[in-house]
Parts: sequence; C-alpha cells; structure tokens
Amino acid sequence: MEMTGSRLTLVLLAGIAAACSASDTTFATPDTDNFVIQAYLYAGERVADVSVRGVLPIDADSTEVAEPVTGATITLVRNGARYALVPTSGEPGRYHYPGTDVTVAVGDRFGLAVTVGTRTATAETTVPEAPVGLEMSADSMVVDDTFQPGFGGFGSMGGGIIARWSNPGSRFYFLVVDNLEEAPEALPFTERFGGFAPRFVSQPTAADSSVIRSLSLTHYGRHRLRLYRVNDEYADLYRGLSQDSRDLNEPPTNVKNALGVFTAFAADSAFFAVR
Amino acid sequence: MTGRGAAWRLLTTMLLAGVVGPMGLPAQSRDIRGVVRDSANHEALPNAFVNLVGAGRRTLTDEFGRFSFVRVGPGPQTLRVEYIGHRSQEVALPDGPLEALTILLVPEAIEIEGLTVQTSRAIVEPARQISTVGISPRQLNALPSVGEPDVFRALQLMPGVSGTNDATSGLYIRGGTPDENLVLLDGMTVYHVDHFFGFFSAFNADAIKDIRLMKGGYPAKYGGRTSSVVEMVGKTGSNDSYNLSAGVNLLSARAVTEVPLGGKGSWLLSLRRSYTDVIRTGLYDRIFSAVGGQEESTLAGSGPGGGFRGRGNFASQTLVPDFYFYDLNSKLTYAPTQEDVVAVSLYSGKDNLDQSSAGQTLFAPDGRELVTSDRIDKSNWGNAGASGRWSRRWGSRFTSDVLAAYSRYYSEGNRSNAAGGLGQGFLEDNRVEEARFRLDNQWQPARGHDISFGWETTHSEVGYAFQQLRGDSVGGSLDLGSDGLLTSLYAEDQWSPAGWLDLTVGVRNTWYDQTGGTYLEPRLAADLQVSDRWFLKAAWGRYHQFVKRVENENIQQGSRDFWVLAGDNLPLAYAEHRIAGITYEDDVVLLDAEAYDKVLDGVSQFSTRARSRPDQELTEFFLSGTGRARGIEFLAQKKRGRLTGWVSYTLSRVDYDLVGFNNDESFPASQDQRHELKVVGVYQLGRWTFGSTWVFGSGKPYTVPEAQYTLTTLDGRELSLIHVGEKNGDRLPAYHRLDVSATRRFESRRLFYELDLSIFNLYGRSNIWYRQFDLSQSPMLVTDVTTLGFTPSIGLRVGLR
Repeated sequence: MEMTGSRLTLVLLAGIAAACSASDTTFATPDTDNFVIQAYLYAGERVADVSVRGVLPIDADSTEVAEPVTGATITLVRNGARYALVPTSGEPGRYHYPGTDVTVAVGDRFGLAVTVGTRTATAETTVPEAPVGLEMSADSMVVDDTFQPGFGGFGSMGGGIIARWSNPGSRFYFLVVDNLEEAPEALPFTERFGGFAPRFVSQPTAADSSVIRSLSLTHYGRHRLRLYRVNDEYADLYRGLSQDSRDLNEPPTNVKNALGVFTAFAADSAFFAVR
Repeated sequence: MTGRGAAWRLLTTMLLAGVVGPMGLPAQSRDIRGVVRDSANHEALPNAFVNLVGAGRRTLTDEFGRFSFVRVGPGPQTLRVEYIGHRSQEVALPDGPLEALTILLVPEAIEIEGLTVQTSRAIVEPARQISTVGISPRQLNALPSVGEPDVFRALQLMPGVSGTNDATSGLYIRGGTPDENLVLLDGMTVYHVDHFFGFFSAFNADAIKDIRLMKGGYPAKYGGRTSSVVEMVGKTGSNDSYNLSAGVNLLSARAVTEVPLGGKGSWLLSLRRSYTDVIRTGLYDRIFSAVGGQEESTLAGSGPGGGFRGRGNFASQTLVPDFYFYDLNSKLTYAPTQEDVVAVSLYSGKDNLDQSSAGQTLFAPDGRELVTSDRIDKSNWGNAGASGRWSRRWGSRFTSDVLAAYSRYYSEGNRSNAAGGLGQGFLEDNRVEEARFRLDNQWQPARGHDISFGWETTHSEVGYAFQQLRGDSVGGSLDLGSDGLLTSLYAEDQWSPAGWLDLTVGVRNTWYDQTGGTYLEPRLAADLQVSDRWFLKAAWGRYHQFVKRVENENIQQGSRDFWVLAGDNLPLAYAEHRIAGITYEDDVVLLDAEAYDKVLDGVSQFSTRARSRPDQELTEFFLSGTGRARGIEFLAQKKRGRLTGWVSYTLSRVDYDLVGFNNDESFPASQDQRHELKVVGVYQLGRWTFGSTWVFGSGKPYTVPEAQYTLTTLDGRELSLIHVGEKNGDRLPAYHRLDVSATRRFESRRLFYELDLSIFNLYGRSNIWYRQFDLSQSPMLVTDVTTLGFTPSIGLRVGLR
C-alpha cells in the first residue's frame, strides 16, 4: 500500500512539474494587407469624408498613429453608376468625389469598393430619413457658476434645455453640440476643473429626447445642436462587446474583406445660447 | 424516409423474434420479483444491480427499488444484489413459487464504524451500462469540497466530464455544453444547476438518494437533449423512524428531517440557505471576488471593445454586495398497497444578488470631491418545480408510471445608473416554464425481454427580454418569446438472447409544433460479455434538442446566455452519438475505455454580426452551423481496500463551424480541451477518512486580438476598436489543482457528528479563467482573471443515529 501511495505522489509531482508553465500573453501578428475604411456620407452634401488607413499592432501605445493609405482605388456606386474618388490634397489617406453630379439624397443606396494592392473591400449603405420634429424647450440657458459638479451628478443640477424629436420607430440618433462663437468665453467651472467638463459628448440613442445641461458645455455663447439620424452600422460601433478571452470577437462591421464602416447620416439643427 | 423505415423494421423484427421465441419455455418456470432496501432505514434503493447468478440475467431496480425476472428456470437460484455505498449481498432462493422478496443491503458506513476492512468505499460506479456513471451522495463527504459535498463537482471528476470549470457546476460532457444535458430531479427538468455563480451546484446532497449520469448513447426513454442525461432521485426518507440532521459550514447551513407515515411512506424535507447576507466570512469574500465579480467598482472606463482613448482613471467606490442562496427539497412517498407507490416532490432554489448602492461622496486623486449617483444593480435566478408520480406494478411483468411535472427557471437582472450613457444599464428577464406529462410502461413478456414504451407531452413557454438603458431611455431591446408543444412516443426492448449478450433496440419519435415536423430517433446499444471479467460495449443513437441556451456575445452585462425555443429563426440542435468501449472488472479493480464520436448540427450563437441587411430584426441575429466532438476516455479504479480511488484520462476535441463566422472556417469550441487527467484517492485510517483529488487540464482555447484601429465619431472623438485573430486560435495555460480533505465521524448513543476539513487548491495554483483586454488603456492592458486560490474550509454535520 505504501508503494501505491509513493507512486501516486510521484505521478502527482511529475504532473505538477510538467504543467507549471509561465503565463504568457501573446498576440497574433497583424495582417499587413489589412486596412480600415471610414466613409461617411451626409444627406444634402457632396462626398468628401472618406479615408483609408492601416492598422496598428495590438500593443501599440497612444502615440502611434496608423499610416494613411494613399494609393487606394475607390469607387462609389449609386443606381449602377460608378464614381471614382480621388485623393484630397494635403490630407493623406483622405478621398473625395471631385464632380458636382453626386449629391447625397435621403433614400439613396450606395455601394463602395476600395482596392489597396490586390485586396478589395466592399460595403453598402442607405441614406436614412432626416430627423423630424426637432425642437428645443428653450432658446437659452443660464449657467449657475456656484455649482459644484459631481461625477454622475448631472441629475442634481436641475434645469437644462430639452431637445425633443419624433422617434416612433426607436431608431438611432446622435447629438452633437458645437459652440458657434469665434472667440468664446469659457464657463467658470471649465477653467476651475480643467478637462473635467469636456466638450459635449453623445452616444447613439434610441430615445426621442435629450437634456443638455450646462455641465456638458464648456463656453458661453451661441450653440448649434445637430441631431443626426444614424444607421445601425454606425450604432454598432458603440455597442460594447465584452472583450475578454471568453468570447473575444470582431466588432460588427458592414465592410467586407477589411475593417471600418461605410455609413450615411441625415441631420437637422437647432440653436440655443448659454449665458 | 429510408432510415426511418429501416429502424421500424429492425425494431419489429427484434420484438417478434425475441418475444415470440421464448414463449414456449417449460411450464414450470417461475417469476422472481422483489424490492431492494437500505437495512438502516428501509429506504428503497433505486438503480441497484440485481444479478441472477449463473443464469446470465441482470437488471436494475426502478426508482422505488423494485425488480423482477420472468420465466426463471426451475431449481434453487442465487440472487446477487449490489448497490453503490452498500455491501453486496447474495440471496439463496429455494425451488418452487416465491413471494415478493425484500432484500436489505447494509450501508458501508456501518461496517466502517466496526473497523471492518476489505469493504467497498466506491463513491462512483462507472461502466455498468455504457457511458453511465452512478454516484452515491452519502459517500461524497470522503471527497474534498468547499464546505459541503457537491454532487455535480463529484461528477466532474469522471472521465469525459470536464473538471476544470471553477465558475460553473454545469457539466461539459464529451464536448457538449451544460444546456445540452437533460437534468431531471424526480422527473422535473432543472434548467439551471448553479448556486453562487456556479461554485456550488443547486442540489443539496443530503436530499439526493441516487444519481445516474448517462454521458451518451442513452435510452429511448429520454429525449430533448443532445449531450447527456443526469437523472437524480430524491431521497425518500425512512419509513420506520423519525430522523433529523443538520450541518453548517462557512457559507451556509442546512437541515434534513425525515418523518415516517404509518409504515407505508415517508416525508422528507430539506432546506439549505447561505447566511452570506448576514455574516460574510473570509471564504465568502474569496469566492465572491473570484467568481462573482469585483466589489470595488471603478467609475471611469469605457465599454470594452470600443473605448475612448486617453481617458484617465478616476476614484473608485466600494460596493457591499448583498448575496444569498437557498434551496428546498420536499418529497412525500406513500405506498397505499404493495403494488402502488405515490410520490410528490417539490424543489425550489434561488440565488439573489443585490449590489445596489446609494450615492457617495468620493475624492479623486487630485483632491476633487465627486458625488456618485444612486445605482440599482439587482439580479436573481433560480429554479422551482413540482412533480407527482403514481407507479403501479400489475403483477410481476408489467409496471406503469404516470408522471405530471412542472418546472420553472428564471433569471432577472436590473441595473441602472442615473449617469446614463450607452451601456450604463439594462433590464433582463429570461424564463422557461415547462409542464410535462408522461406515461412509462415496462413489460417483461418473456424471458430475456424487458420492453419499455411510453408517451410524453411537454409544453414549454420560453421568454427572453433584454433592454439596454441609457439614462431613462431604452436604447435597444430584444424580445424573444414563444411556446412550443412536444409530443413523443417511444419503445425499446432490452433483449438478452444469451447470458453473454444484451441488445437494446429502441426508437423515439417526437412531433414539435413550432416546426410542424416529426423527428425520429433510433437508439441501439450492445453489451457483450467476452469472459467473466471482460466486456465489450457499443451504442449508437440520434438526438434532437428543442429548447436551447444561446450565448449572446453582444451583452456586456448580465447573463451571457439565455434560453430560447428553436423555431423559425433558430434551428433545433441535433447530435448523432457513436460509442464503443471495453471494460475489465473484478472484485477490486475496474479498467474501462470508451471512444466516442458525436456529429452535431444546429450549433447556435446570437450575434449582431449575423446582420445581413439593414434594419434586420434582432430576432434574426442567430449564427448557426455544425460541429463534431471526438474523444477517448480511460478509467482505472480501485474499488476496495483502505485506499480506493481512480485515475482517469480523456483525450478529446470539439470543433464548431458556423456559417458566416470566422471566415467560414471551423474553430475549436470554447469548451474544447485536448487532455484532462484526474487522480482521486480516498484513504481510510480508523475513524478518519482522507481524500485528495488532483485535476489537470490542458489549456482551453481563446481568441487573441490581432490589431487595433481607430475611427473618428461624429463628435470628433477617436473610437478605439480591435481586430481579432482566428476564433479561439490560442490556448490559455494549463489548469491544475490539488484538493485535500480529512473527515472524522464521531458518535454518541443518540447522535453522530461528521467534521470535514478541506483545502481547495492546496498549492495555490493561479489558474486563468479568462483574459480581459482593456482598450481604454494605452498600450492595451491585459489582465488575467484567475480562479480561486488556496482556500481552506470546515464543515460540521450533526444528526440522529
């Protein structure tokens, strides 16, 4: 019996020794042929916001920037007609359509083909309907400069301007607020808290209203709120994927054979002032 | 359909050839029937092995301990009866007609108290039938545990069952996933087998009498799952005397009481509840932080996979989670006549986690004062069910069982935060309700034939709703709900044309209203006794699954998977099992090897990447495909003596191939594990029992990120994204762990005491559960999330003798 126990111990120790290996995180080598398309079409505008860049190694730090792809052949397709995009001067990796015969219209369906070397990527999108019924609850707000901002404490501030729009289908919208002043004066807590009060940031929402509070702004003066109707492929970029090794997956993309997004927007605007 | 016709023809031929042939045996033959009970409390013993020595005839007792042999030849006979955890017994039967027998088996524990050696302490009993393992819950305290014995953790020590999943008690069997197992408790289906995020199973070992795990090739009586069957029979309690026992460990307390009902029945009630919401022990803290989540919540951060670069860290607040679990078992058994038994069982189990917090005032690293908002974070999940059963023996040759069962699974989550924003909150509700009625008959029309046939109807109602909240708004939702009706008929003959050969031929046919289709499932099994100690065995069968648990890769909070019915958008799952094996068994040693090959179809995953056109409904976002699982298992068990235990090794592989996924190339499934080795030893030294288990598993696959890139959003921010490499293209480091235990039993005139000391992960191996990739950091931060380290625990059980 003792022999049996000794042998068992030896088996265990041998197994432990064989199994103990250092934990090592390795990353796959990026495919050097791969590229990233960022192609945005805006209803009522010309085609000017298309860019192609490379990818970065997974362990790249924030100082590294992906190389622009300057030699891409890009074709836009609408109703069977093909339009060749050309590089934009002074902006490596950026492309536009030089003619005046393509204006993006609501309901248009576009195809995109991007060839870099021997690799061709394709994507499709449809220009969405413009937002309907955008209105603001007030045309100005007064900033309370005695307020002590707290993290997540927007709800305690009260006030703000409410932007409302029609959204019976729970479609996705995106809000951007810009200060229109040429030399805007900073709000008191912008200076007091430095970067704590960032430029107004939005994420796609399927709601039909949003509250703009002073804490989400940085300067006094006239502001423009642009409400974009966005397609699912754009909202997908924000969908949080649980990125751990149990189910690490490629973020959703509508680009085939490369990375990135090809999408279209339609927008409406409203204005308000901050005093 | 050719296959269907062939199966029916084969079944008919077998029945006619077998049933009609032996009818002409001599008139002086007799029937032998009886019931096998525990000598200590006269509780019926299900699945006891009864062997008519020398006649080559053997059978298993039913749930109520009953057995019968028909048309036994004249002359004296000997019955040998074996049951796991009990001393085997031989009963000499005189010539002539016999009354119904009552055979009492002596539990091993009683022998051990007398320090009798050379007794069996087998905890598991593999290989009696192909791919089948039996477990004796009463012997489980000999194995290391965290606090108290766990029936599913014990099953994980068997070959072919993965033993390297600390975060779930669910059984990954032969490449299958836990949802592919049919888990039955007294006829109720149990959909969720975990307590405490999977660290414990949802079943109180004190309330379970017998467990049978059928790893594949299971009989036609069972259907609706593609991997395996776990059938648990609840303890009935003593017919003769009142009994009470209670136990406590560092997490929970439990009690069991048995009440006799006039000598004709008994009522058993068991209750287990954690006290973790009242007293938080060190063991609780360790387990909670290892498998349940983090108690310290960082306020800043971004949705993984898509993060904004350049954000700094902020202050953090400490949350105090409120967590408890409980389960309750009740079983009433009553035999109004010698031929009838009625049983009513109830089960309820629940886990509740509340991590809500009121707003707090925090101080950031630069001294700024920050006020957090109120946060709601509640989730609860569990099972409840009831079953009623009437079993009648119509003489020695025919038995009928009627079962009505209801079971309910629910999982609810609610998280919201006043701060708003994408991914800040969610509402989740997944529930399965199942009502089932079945009639099972067993008929022994002639010598060597044991025919089962029956009917089963199941109505399932499955709902899943998920709402992503952004502030006060709903930012995207998923609502899947449907109900389905399944009706099955089955017939099976276990035919012994000779003492050395058992053939089981069966067929199951199921109609499913969601698809309007019928699904034929032929089943075959053979057991060939080559010599006194060598057996060859094989099985083949087809299996379908209609309710599935689907992984949702797009949810970053709440449950990662949900139950849903197969239907228009989701194909039903299918598996074909092919199994062959060989067994050597003598009184002391058992050697067993089995090889399996499983062809899978209808493997599914939910993903928004299944979008094929704009504005497609979320309910259509399922990826589906095929799969294949192959492997070979080896087991060497020493069954008797002071030192008992086993060594098992499994070599396996499981691949999936989902349409439109991973460049349409097959990839290793997440549960794939090439090698697994387990060593289990139990040593008896006086009144002490020492146990140890060592588990080694080669690394499981995971997907490695390959590149990162950024996209500029409409508001000018840089959104950081990753490009992943081949699906499951790399492997985590190997898993291994050594657990040890010591158990001491004390007895006084009226009471017994059992003291359990266990150490989980004795040498503190940091086994990696998964890797986190944080893109909000630059360079990307990789964190290894490890499972439970060195963890001692203690438990005490006290009861009436």
